[in-house]
Amino acid sequence: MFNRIKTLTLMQLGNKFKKRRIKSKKQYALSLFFKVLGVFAVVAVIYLLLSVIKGVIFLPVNRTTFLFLLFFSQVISVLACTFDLVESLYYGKDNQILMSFPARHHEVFVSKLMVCYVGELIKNAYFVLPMFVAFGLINGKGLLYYPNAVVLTFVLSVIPVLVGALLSVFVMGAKQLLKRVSWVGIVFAVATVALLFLLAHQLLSKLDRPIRLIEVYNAFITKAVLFMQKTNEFALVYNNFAQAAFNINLVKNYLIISGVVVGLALLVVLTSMPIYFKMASFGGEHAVTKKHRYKKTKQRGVFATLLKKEITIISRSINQFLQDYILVIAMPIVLYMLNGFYWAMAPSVNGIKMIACFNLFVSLLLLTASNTQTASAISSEGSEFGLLKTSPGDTKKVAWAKMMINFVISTIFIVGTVVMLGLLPNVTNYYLWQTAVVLVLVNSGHILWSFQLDLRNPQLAEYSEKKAGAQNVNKSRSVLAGMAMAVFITIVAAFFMIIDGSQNPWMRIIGISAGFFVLRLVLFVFNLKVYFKEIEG
Amino acid sequence: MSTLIIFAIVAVLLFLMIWFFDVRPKKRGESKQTVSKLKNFKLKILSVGLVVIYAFRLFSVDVIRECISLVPTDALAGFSPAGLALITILRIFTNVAVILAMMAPWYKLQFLKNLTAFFVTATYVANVFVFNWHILSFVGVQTASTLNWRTIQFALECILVLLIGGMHLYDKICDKNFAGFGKQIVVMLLSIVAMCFAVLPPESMQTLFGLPDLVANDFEFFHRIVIYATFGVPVAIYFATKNKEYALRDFVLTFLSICAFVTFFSLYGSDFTVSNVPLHLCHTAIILMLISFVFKSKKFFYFNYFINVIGALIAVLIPDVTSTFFEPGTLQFWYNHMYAVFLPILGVALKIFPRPNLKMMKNAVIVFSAYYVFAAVVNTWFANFDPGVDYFFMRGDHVLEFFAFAFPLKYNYIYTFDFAGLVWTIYPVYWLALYIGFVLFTFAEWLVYASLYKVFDDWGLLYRKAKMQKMDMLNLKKEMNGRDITQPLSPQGANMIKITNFSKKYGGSDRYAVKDFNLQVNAGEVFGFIGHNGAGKSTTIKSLVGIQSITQGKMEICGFDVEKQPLQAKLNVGYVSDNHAVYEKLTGREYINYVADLYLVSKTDRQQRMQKYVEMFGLQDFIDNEIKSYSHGMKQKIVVISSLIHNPKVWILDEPLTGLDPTSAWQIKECMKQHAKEGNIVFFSSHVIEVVEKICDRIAIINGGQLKGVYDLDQLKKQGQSVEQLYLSFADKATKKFNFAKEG
Repeated sequence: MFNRIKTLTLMQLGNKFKKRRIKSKKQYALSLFFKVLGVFAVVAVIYLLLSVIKGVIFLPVNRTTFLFLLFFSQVISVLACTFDLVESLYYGKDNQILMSFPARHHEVFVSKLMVCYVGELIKNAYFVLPMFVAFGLINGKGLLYYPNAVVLTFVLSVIPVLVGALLSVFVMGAKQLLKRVSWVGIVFAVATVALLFLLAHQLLSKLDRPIRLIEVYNAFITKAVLFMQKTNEFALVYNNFAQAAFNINLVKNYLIISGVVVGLALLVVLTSMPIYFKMASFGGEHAVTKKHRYKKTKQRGVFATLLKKEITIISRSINQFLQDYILVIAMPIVLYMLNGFYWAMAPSVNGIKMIACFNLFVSLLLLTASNTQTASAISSEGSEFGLLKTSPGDTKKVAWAKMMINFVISTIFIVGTVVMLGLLPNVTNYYLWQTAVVLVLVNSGHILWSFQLDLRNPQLAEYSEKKAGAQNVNKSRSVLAGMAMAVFITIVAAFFMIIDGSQNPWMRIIGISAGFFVLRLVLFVFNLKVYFKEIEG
Repeated sequence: MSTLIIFAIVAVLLFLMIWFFDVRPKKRGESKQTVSKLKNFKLKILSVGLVVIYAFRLFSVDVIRECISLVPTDALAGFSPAGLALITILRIFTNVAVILAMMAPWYKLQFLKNLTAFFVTATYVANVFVFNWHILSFVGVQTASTLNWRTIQFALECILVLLIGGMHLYDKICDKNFAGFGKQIVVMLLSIVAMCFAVLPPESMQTLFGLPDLVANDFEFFHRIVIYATFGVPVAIYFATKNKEYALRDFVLTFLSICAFVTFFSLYGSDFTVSNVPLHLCHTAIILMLISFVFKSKKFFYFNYFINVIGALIAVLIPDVTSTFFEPGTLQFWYNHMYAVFLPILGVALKIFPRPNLKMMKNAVIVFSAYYVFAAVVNTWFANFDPGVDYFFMRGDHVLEFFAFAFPLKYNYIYTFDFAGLVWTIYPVYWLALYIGFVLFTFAEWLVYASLYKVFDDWGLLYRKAKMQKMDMLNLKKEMNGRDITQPLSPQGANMIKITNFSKKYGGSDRYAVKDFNLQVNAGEVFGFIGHNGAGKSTTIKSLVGIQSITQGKMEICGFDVEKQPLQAKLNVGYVSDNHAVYEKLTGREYINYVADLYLVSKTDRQQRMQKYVEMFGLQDFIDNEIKSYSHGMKQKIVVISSLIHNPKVWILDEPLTGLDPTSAWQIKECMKQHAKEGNIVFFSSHVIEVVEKICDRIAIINGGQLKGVYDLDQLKKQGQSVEQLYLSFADKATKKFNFAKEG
């Protein structure tokens, strides 16, 4: 059994971590050296950050802070491991191969957990272990602290894997439910957004106005420490990890930790493992056979056809849609919270101008980062692009169909942001509509730019093979371009509002934004006309 | 005295013209070419002499510079405002004329010859007439009455310029070719106006208009005018000259580099001190630019390109001049820095110098490093003689005004020592920071340049491709000979697929995926296309249906050229791809309707056909499920239905039976036979020979990108030859050929 688990684990690890074959011991040693150097570099960075927290922000860097950070990071690890394991255990493409091997299902299960553990260990080696070391250096811990930290890192990595294995069953169940009743997902998303807004509103209403940052700073530090202490009360076994790390009741804490690990392992063996095969085969056996209502068809023009197709596909891929637009959806709440805080500080005239510039910056960052799906609009067609090439009619209109959706969603949320900002006191309509115009113009220009990037460098073969898992260099280029535009517009705004001090800075900012939009539009139209027909499917 | 000098000038001039240039008819035996070469050589010598003579005037102080708003100073007592105005304007023209005269012998440009003949000559004739006034404006009333070296210098200058101008005028008159002269006059006038601005004497605005309170700093109105001009003027020059001959582009930029030199050094004689040695980066730029353009020195040019442009741009954006705009020193500052910004950029844009590479940039940084060390030494040394010395802002606080955080870097680290009887004060940390900052700027500049090159190349390629597409459309209309472009280009091919000399190369590969492929397929045929994996079957088919481009050759479907009339060709084609690509989130019905919309199929037709084929393939219970729940065979059937929904004349299938169960395969084969029976073309590729043998009328075999033969299956059967044997004979590279080719 152990041999089989070992073989399965090594096979999956070999596939997951496709590295260059190391030909010699020297190469191996060099590779190891650079990895260790990387860890030391992270230690240095965390040490510097902690020094700043201690020396500049005046937050104490002690066991409380350590536990808070550890707990926070491990909560994220648990969530990440859970979703990772859901994909790997129940939707993994290698299941078809692994299940057909002469190995028991629970051996496959264990091997997958082992692979997840190795991944988690590597992550912790680059973050948690350096954090341990940095805290040790800052607090002047003895030599024994460091080997203890290494041991704890190994043990710590087990917990998210085991918890993830347990939670994956529930997540899997929820996913299956959402597949059947997709409206639940939408309701859930809307409810989450509404709750977040209410929470933001409540938090803002509790702020004492006007906020005097220097005056409240000490109180802020005290409250921050209290908040960390209160959070640490929920840290459970991580409390024991922190105590063990700081050499408090070492034996007792190690015993508790071991007990928790064993207990979790037993739970996994008794609950998740037995039902693993059934759950893994559930997805394949119960492919969606939902019938869609037959609607009377009418002949549409090319653009309407393409647009209808896009809308239909999006409506049946809500998760992907939410993933693509999460930043834009969050934008109104983020801006509302930030501005609520700024305006509570009773800013001066220059302060108001700086707020306006910062709002443009943050909004454009969020908006343009959401245009990545346009930056893979052509590529995501994959093999289906051949249909667009072989069809008569002006199939270049697919570009407008794809961008239309991005444009509409972005504009809706720009309007939403503006409406939410209008709820704040002291924010004038004049400022709001000008901000909206600038955002719409710059974002639209960026959408055109993003599409153009994909048009000039489509990754059709990549998407044909890997579908949603494909890497697309155009997405990162789109993000970079968006960041550059955000910075540029902010500098322009700051120049006209603050440095230039002109009477009507907004008109100039709008003029430059409009110029950018027109330039991108002209370039896009030409590029589409010339290069669309050159794409080879 | 002045009259005597004028007569002397004219007499010497005439003598020199006759002797130097020999205006008599050519001597026997001398070719016209030799005479012309000799004359040009002499003109070049005169030009060099002119440069030397003019240099004396350039570096001299003129008393007219003290005049403001046409009010003569004491040195110019007796001058009327009108006289001052005339002399000032004439000086502007003279600046242009003397540079043109220097350059004329070196460029074979008709435009320049005309300017030299008419404008240069006229200007200096006028100068001769007001010769005395010029001398007064140089040296003032008291000195002008005696024979002084300025008088001799200017007299020599007039003689040399008039010789050059006179000879050009003489040639022009002898030429007697005045065709298009009216247009040339307009061009000349516009050029003269532009040139006057290019080499405006810095004091002329003050002399003519005084010193109005126009501050060009802190992004005030005039500062912005200057910034806009810094970017706008080179753009205008670029578009005006980019399509002209090399000689003209070279002339324009060399002229401007000389203008930069003249405008800068014309004020130099007035206040030359130790703190005024041209060691500021932008001052050295002026000298280096002149050398770059006149002698085509790449080393100096690229130093300017990388190092000086950024420094000059910073100076334009954050200038250290606070005096009014028309003040000579201010105008000189702006001219100097504007030229330093755009001349190197134009030098590359107008292809006088090639685009630099990273190695050249690194070399420029090395040279800058040497300059920096030299400037540091000179700053420290000369500070002993003039505390105002501040080359490259290494001693002053101009840079620190914008980077206040760097104050401690300068003032906390001052070191002073004695050496050779002088006090040496250094600011090592500040100087190091300044150096690193500037080098980083240079690298950032390289990134900007590289990005701009990419953008311009991209725009250029886009423009050329768009133009080519337009040309293709016009050529098509010509080929159609008055017929509508929606008609077939080859009406005789209305019922066939015709492939002529088709070749296909992918991307940057040298290897042909398909080479010289010729084929004709007729209506009513089921035509099989067989070959090994990678033979070129899919390549041929994808080019035929419009998914890929055609490298060479021609492909026609029903008489429509696939490249020139793609829309019409595609309307006649139904295509089943080898990867049965479908949108899996759509239902079968939605997908078929989607394709029907793209092929403009009417509601009635599509419903009829959809019902027929859905029933034929047994998909009634699945048609409204999402395609992702379909089996491989069902997906293939959906693709087949959607390819037939518009009842195409040509049905092209790329390995349609791969992975299908026997029933599904049989259904599709029956469909193919039926479609061909209805008078359509069925063209499909396969490497399953048994299928090909059973349903095809004719086959083509492709191997290694080349057509090996076209065969009639009935003929093969009569010969007792199986398709498998035939196919394998090519695979085994058999010497015997069983070719029953029957082209169309």
